[in-house]
Amino acid sequence: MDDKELIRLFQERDERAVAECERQYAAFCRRIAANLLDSPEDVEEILNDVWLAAWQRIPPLVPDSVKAFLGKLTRDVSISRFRKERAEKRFGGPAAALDELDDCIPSSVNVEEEIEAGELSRLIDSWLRAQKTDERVLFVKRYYFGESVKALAAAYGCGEARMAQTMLRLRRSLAKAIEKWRD
Amino acid sequence: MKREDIYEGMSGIGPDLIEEAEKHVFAARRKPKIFRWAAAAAVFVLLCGVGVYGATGGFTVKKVMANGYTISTSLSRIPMKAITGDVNEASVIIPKQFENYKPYSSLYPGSFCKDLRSAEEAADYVGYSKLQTPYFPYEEAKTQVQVSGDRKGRISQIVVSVDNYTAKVRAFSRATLYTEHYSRKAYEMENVYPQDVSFTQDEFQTAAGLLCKTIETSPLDSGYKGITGYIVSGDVVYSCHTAFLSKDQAEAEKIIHDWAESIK
Repeated sequence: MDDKELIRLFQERDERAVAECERQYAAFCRRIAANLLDSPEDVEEILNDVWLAAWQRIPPLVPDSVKAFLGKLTRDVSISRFRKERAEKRFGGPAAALDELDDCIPSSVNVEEEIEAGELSRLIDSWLRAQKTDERVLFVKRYYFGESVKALAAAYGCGEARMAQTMLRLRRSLAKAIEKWRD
Repeated sequence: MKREDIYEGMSGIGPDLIEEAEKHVFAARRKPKIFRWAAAAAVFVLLCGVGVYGATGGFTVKKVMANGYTISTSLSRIPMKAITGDVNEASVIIPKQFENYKPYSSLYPGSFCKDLRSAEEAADYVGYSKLQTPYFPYEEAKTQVQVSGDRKGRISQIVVSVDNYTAKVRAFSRATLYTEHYSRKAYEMENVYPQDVSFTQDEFQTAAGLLCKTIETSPLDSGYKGITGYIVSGDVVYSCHTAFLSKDQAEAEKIIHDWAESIK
């Protein structure tokens, strides 16, 4: 079933939309959630929340790509769970990846400084497109899909130390892009 | 700004970047050739099979399926002694693939891919004096030499591919060499799209006197349409595929034109 048909089911409030989402995209969403969360039970809960959120948002939303939309929902729901669990100090999940992202914030930027989320997404998108393919893919795999440095090193065919170095270089490059954009 | 902002900012990146990251295979992990091509071209698959001869020096185009067409031409096979580059290492690598092949392996033996940094480097790697490096409009996102051979290590086909699938007009360039070990009678390329398409064909002569066949396909549901150019020179089949939105048609046409004129 293509995206148009799937969105039509959502718009007609046909519950097959959820079943079809699950059939087509559960593996994709599960992969993202599993990289961000510790327990399989959490992952399944997240997926249920994702299908519910999709049901509540389409309509009025009509996403260009259902897959990307569900991916975004999975990340959003996972990060909400992460915040909640972190407050309760019993969650390790994406903490390492989040810590690393500190490197992307230029030293000149104040923690209190706010930036509109859409603008930041556009900036990151544009910066990613300027990177070499392999490096762009590595960055997305690490900070979108939440894959571990170890897994990326194995897939890329290099050591973990080299992969960590590559990721550090990319984060610093993004920080420079953000700094330049603010200027 | 906090690190969570960056993390959440990643949620809004383009769907194509997510798709790319999901499908991308790093060079260190080899996949069967067809999968690598599919990943690179997204909607453009170039396969070689058995077919009919076209007119000498020209191309014959047939729509034999709802979602694509075949294009065929006749050309001489290239003797292996004329191919002197390191690509000959495939003669050793491919037989080992057959030796080590396990039925449950995801890798099927008989093809070998080498990533190179540029088309020039790829041409050096092949080492065929008549192989040219046509004009390519963008930074080369992925440049590969793909080699097909049999269990005895006899190389039958070599493809130099240069791709950029992030530019406004996406471009995929191929140079295909058929060697003396290519066992089929004629050469036919099959272009398959993910949905039904219609096409129009045209041709023009370049300043160097070469005939360039062009095929323009109707837009897919994604809005992307395509123009592909084909030229034969020095027993090498060159093709350049562009995928673009209708508003960028003029730019795509210019790319095909400049690409064709760069081949001598």
